[in-house]
Amino acid sequence: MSVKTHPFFIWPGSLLWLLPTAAAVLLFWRSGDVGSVWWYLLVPTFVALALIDLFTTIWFGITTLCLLFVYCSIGSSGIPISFAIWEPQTWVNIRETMEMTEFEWFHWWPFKWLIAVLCLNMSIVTIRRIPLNALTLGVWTIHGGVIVMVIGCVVYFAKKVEGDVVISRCQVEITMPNQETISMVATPANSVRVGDWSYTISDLNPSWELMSGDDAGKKAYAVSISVRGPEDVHFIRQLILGYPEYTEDVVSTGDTSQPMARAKNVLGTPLVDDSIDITLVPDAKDRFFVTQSAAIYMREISRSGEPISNWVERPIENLPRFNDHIPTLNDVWGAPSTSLRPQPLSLNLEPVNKNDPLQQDAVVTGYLRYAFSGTRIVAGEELFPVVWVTLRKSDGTEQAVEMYAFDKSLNTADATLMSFRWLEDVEELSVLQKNLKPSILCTVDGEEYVIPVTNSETFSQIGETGFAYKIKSVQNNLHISGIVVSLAQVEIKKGDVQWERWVFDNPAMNRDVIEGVEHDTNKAKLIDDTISMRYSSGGAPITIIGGLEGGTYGLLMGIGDDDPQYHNMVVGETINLTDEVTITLSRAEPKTKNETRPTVVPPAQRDPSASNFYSMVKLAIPTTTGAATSWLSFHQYPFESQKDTVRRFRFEPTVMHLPDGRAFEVLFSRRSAELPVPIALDSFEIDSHIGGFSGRTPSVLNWRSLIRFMGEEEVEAAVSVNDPKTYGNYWFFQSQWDPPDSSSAGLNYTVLGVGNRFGVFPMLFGCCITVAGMIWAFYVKPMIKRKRQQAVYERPAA
Amino acid sequence: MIKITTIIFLFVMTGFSFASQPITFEEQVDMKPWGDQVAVFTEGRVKSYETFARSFMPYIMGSKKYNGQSATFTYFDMMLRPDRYADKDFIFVKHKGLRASIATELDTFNPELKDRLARFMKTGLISRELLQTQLVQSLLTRLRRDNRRFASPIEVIDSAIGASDPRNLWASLKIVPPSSGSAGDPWNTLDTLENKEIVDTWQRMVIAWQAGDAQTTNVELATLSTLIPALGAGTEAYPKAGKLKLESMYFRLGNLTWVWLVYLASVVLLLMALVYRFETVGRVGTTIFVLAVLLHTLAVVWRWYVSGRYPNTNMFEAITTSAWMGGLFAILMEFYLRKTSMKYLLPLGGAITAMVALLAVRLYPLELNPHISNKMPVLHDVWLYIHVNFIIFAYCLIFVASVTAFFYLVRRGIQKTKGIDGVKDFAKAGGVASLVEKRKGGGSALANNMGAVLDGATMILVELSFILLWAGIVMGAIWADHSWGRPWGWDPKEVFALNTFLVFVVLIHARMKVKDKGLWTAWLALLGCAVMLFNWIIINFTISGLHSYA
Repeated sequence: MSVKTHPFFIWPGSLLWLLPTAAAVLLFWRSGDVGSVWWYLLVPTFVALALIDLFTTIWFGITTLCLLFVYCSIGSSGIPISFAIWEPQTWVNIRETMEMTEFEWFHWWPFKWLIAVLCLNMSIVTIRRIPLNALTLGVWTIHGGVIVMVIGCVVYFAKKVEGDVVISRCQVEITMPNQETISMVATPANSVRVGDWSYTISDLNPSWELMSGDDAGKKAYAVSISVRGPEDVHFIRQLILGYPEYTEDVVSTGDTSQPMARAKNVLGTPLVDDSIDITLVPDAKDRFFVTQSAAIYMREISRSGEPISNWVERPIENLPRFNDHIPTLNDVWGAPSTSLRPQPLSLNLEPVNKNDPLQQDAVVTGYLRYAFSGTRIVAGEELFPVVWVTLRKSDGTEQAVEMYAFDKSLNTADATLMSFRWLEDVEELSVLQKNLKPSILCTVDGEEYVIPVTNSETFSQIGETGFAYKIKSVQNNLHISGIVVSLAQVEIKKGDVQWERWVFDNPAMNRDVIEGVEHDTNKAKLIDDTISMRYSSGGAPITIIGGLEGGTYGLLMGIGDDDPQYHNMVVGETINLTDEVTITLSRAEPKTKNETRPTVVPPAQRDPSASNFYSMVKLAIPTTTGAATSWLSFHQYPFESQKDTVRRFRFEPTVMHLPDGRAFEVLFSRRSAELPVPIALDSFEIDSHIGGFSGRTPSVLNWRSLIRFMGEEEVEAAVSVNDPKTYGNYWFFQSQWDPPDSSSAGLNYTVLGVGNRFGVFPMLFGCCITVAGMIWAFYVKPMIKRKRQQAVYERPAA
Repeated sequence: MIKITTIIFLFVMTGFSFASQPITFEEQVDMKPWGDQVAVFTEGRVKSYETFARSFMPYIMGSKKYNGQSATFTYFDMMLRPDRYADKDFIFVKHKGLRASIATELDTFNPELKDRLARFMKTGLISRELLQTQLVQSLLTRLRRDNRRFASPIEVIDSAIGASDPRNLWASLKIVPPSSGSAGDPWNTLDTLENKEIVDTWQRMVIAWQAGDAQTTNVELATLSTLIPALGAGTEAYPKAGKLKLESMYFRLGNLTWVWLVYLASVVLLLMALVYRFETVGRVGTTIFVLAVLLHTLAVVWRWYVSGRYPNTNMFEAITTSAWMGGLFAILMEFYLRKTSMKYLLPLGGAITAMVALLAVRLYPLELNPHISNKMPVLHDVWLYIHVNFIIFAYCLIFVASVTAFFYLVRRGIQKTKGIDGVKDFAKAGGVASLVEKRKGGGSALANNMGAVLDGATMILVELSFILLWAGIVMGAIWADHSWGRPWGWDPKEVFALNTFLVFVVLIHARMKVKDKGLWTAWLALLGCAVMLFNWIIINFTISGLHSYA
């Protein structure tokens, strides 16, 4: 009780504690340790002692609890901006606006202060106001348990490291005479070259059934490698993981009924060439990748693109996660509805060690949460005309079309409907107009006649020649034997004779239809060769014309039987093509170039579950003659090379060229951390529900990775859902798997979660004694009290 | 005369028999033998056809029925007579904003659809053909870009269109058990079956169905209902006939969620007993409540049997099992408290809680899906049973506490209108302590004051839920530690469970300090319940996290 009465522990004497408070703040500030564990142990304690009377009140504790409630709510659900709390858009995520993950929000100084204050309040109230006895044992235990739990949490969260590692079933190791051994990860279609030979993984079967000897009926992981060498050597080598004795080749037989057969049966030996040694070795991984971290990986490459240094990891500290940071508006493409504003970053990345190939700072100058690389046409220096038009139907549907005049494959939207022509000479316009409609050029006795292609039901005379014609049908742009031809089927009549002629745009192909004679055997046979014909399919009925005087545009319209009409076209104006359809020239650029920039996806279009999977950073490497810059896409894992990349993940390093001629491959990914020992995946198993494994998740009962810790003494372990395994200071969890899809039977790799868990036992101990304290306070205490009362009642009676 | 009477009698009888005979094909077809006896394999489970059809059709038409037809009939009919469904409104669009967008788009260019679109706005049902028009498809493509609001509802529409395709209906009807009889081997459709008798019977049934010949259809269906189960009879792959039948019956009886009506009856009587002190009414009310809990127990045990696992792995099961726990708790407590002034109070609270819970699952079958599916792999752990049951029991008690707290506030409100100050209406010794005193001769804690009784009941429930919730959170941490690799990850569901607990921490401490203990206790108990419901509803459905499956 002396504590209560000592002048240092009552107002105003307690204010003397402000002196050590000030001293501690000063010391911590000067030493740069503000925010350290000792800071939160000492400074709040001195503050509490200075304000000890306040910290002795329950109301102060209640207020702290209320603040804690509000803090937790804001960090977790956000703040509602309307009463429609069931609508996702009602909730504004303050935490993400402030660039904090949940982990960071609940490690921010206000939270730490609230917890420190709550613990001090609990301790002071308990010590000063609650005498320890049988009746108050519950309260003491509860408060004590909470404080022990908080200490456990401090240790746990201070030391927490969490991440994951992807491990494949195996690596394929290829050794050839006089060649360096080369390896690639076993993933569908992976491929390497060794000298003149190429090795491609043609098939992976996770449940290959063995047929031989004692192993018959067992299932194993089988890898088929297509081997191609000089002089058309080709065979497939089949390897079975764990059973090298069953390695054999399959060769082509030339027999269509059985195109491939075992080399053993065809050549009498299981291997076509036993100097080619292919083996399956463990894909042992010695590092994992830390959750919610960021790093740039870089290596120097030669002019020919060959790496000349190893990858080096440069961690990025304080990289934003949720909000875009754009250096300038010209750095990105934005959606029309997105309002972007420049907000550059400047995060310096220093060389990490003497092996760093760059040996100078690099700077992260931009971050995009959700973007993809997009190429758009912008104004340029060279003539490369492009138009954008929009067709609208009266029912509201519309179609946007982009046409490039000088690109033959892209200068029409539909060869029979619309095209974009750039005129070299204005005179070309009248020629185009004249030839826009389809026609047939007839020559009779050296005289030429241009006859229109119309839908007439009756025969029309061809001049005074005595010939008459009727168009039966027209077929344009037919692909025949690799060439494109157009054809008009014309009925011709002269006197009483009437026949059908197929008139092509190439007259050498013309032929008459003669009853009982096959066309193929009667090439170019004509009933009457005094009349020759050539079909001209004309231009597209909607032809947009550029290159006119004054940089204007025009539209040649040849729809229906009317003569082609010409209209001036102005950007933004709409022209009626028919009663139903209109055309609008949305944009036109004569001089253009392609430019690739990140396209920022508007927030509403982002998949919330994608996290930062589609994020990008802009990296700048400053030099004396200007900075080399590039946007880098996020990689879930920084694989060493393409041949080490597991399916579903990418390996797309960006090459950055420096003015001094050096070039670097750079890659944006996560920070790595060392595993206690390398880990290999021996097997991956699936337990299924009734009906067996269908390839879909609902049929899965459990996933199990059979892994091997490859320390001095190898340890095997089965990691499955809810059944992690420990090695060193880490637990290893079953995290993700490789589900089957159309390109693979899957089960080629596993992803293990990796995490440490210091402080968990104090946390749990604290929680458990808290529960015991609650039971005591609510259930045991009333009975003790009641017994004591009973004893008082019974005493006079005794 | 006798003749005339006989003729009239016969005429009347015939008339009646004509009137009572089904007139349409769908009414005449008897799907019951097929529904009860034939097992269908779907997503790693084997169900009776009736259960399968009932769980499948909501993917297409939500909780609606097409022309009043049963799901079992509609599935077959859509598969065998697809023309009948051409341009008919049966695809359910749940999202009202999406409905409005589609209707507006169609209405602008097709004014003749006005009435149909008005019906669509009301019922949410629209035809596949209208959804597949270029107009709607380009609208959906545009809206899909609004990922947060529309991507998921549009995906539901796409899967409904896909699901209603007769080819998909056929491919989903995996009714042929593996010939090996092994539970690990796949099931197939009739395509792969070489049993001529079954194939011929099926073809006869299809022809009869397409011709609208109900009599032949029924005969062939009945034959198939015997022949197909015989393929798997006695094997581990095929469920027992009795189990299939019970499963169908369980769903036919609406998962017994109608028991809410029995709870309602007990609520009315118990409320009268509590307010007017009608002893007989109270006893009848308690008896009906016990009956309701027994029926509820039957529903839980029934589901347990047909699903082959304790029902606590989805929202439907969490809510119904939680309410059932509350019912059992109320009966136990009533037995203990039957001679105190707290009698009838906890059965009333339990009945209201269970009634609300069962009504909720009945009214929101799409959100609180009653269909039985396999547990996710992560849920195969003993801590599922420990952690989840502690939490849902705590949540149930928090709801019951909010009921007694609400009654307390109503009483204080009435007293206020009468000018009576109720500040002293609280249990003098808190929750359990008040009971200990009351039963063992102390007698002063409740003092036969209704306010003190209501406050005491609230505190009994708060104290127990306080411990259960904390213990449940701790157990969740133990599970998360070995399941997700960390005991606590600040997941929204975790945070709001902690927030609920914080409200009760404030309640217990504030009760020590405030003068008007009863009033503060009641308001904070209501706030705790609101936070708990926020966690269960808004966090689950709006702000998703790792716990989104329950």
